[in-house]
Amino acid sequence: MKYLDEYRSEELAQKIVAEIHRTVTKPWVLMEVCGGQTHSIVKYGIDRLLPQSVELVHGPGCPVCVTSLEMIDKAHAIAQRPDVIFCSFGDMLRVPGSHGDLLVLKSRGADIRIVYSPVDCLKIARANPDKKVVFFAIGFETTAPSNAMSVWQAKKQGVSNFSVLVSHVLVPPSIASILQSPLNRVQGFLGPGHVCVVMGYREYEPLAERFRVPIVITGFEPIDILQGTLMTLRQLEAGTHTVENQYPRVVNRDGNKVAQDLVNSVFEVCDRKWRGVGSIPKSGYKLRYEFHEHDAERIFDVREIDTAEPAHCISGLVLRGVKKPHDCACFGKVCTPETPQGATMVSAEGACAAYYAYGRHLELQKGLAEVAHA
Amino acid sequence: MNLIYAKIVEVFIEEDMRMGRVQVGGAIKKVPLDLLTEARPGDTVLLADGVAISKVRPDESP
Repeated sequence: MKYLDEYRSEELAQKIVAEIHRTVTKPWVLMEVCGGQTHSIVKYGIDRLLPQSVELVHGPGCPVCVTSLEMIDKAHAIAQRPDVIFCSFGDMLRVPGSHGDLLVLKSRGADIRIVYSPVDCLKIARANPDKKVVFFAIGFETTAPSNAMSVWQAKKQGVSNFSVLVSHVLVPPSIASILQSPLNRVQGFLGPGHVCVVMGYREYEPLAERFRVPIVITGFEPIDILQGTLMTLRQLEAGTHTVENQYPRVVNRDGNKVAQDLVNSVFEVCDRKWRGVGSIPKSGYKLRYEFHEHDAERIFDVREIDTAEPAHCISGLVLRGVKKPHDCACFGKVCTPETPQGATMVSAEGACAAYYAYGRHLELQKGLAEVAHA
Repeated sequence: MNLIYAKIVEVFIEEDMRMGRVQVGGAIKKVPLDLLTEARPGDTVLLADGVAISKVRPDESP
């Protein structure tokens, strides 16, 4: 398929890998920000093509993973109401809250529907005027335009029985949080390609300057990731720290200003709690007051929720690049995609789920068996 | 989250919104094009959660 096949070329991949090996003279730690990038890296074994001195650690950019437990529990409280049709992307249905997940609630009779787009919820709301239709509006800046569009259209068209449960998160504050941590090991970033489609990459330039780290806005196919890695390593070896764009086929410096205007008219920046990480100042979006009649948190008054997160889970350290999935004693044993214990196993884009899906838990078990037999 | 490339086959107005019929693999889907003022039939666009957010520049290759 056009725009995909040429970015999966084995021949080109080998050339870039060879160039990476020629470029690297020192050990470096790079973080890919997005869950989609993590998934590609593990699926194609990209980390294993790199010199041993180059380590890729996995970032916080899986929106399903970082949605806070409080917000998941609020979603469950709303979805259980008999007067509600609760709509969500499919990957949120298996995410465990304090007491089960949305799929369990659906099996008990709750009207929970998977939608392809939040805009589709308006049609459901018009067809069900006696119900309250709620969309679980999670995600990074990439998802914000479609969520903003659904709220904007609902207000404009007078669809008063539609609301959104907003749990949006923003990438730049999370990068700053990682770099400010005393545990930080990250020296360069593969930046979030699809976030920058919407937002552009101007806001990453002060981060690169302040923390003296190279940030290369990178796509999601194997060639994209290898090119982004090479560009980051070239900067590290040269001692530079600028923002570069590896993904110009859809990203430019200014982003999509029409989309930004829409997002800014519907949402405003707020503090946000990230699952596994904690609260990060000014790291999320909430609805502006002008749209409060579409705010599910206000409508259903679910502001105080007691939560219970498994204490043994290290997903917060994985999300900050401090630990890898196989550093966790639960990985692949009690914690699997069928029985996720924490943030990074709950979505296919999470680092633990990606490691599991491509058999790295089996390698870990095999390695332990070989050690035992030695 | 859903991110996918699609080719525009038709542009039209519906309820004051600029909409498009796009081809994704063998399927045809109706999506909002309001955020891409210059997208035309024949253009490839990136869809995020059912909304077109960027036109793909064909002259960029690896």
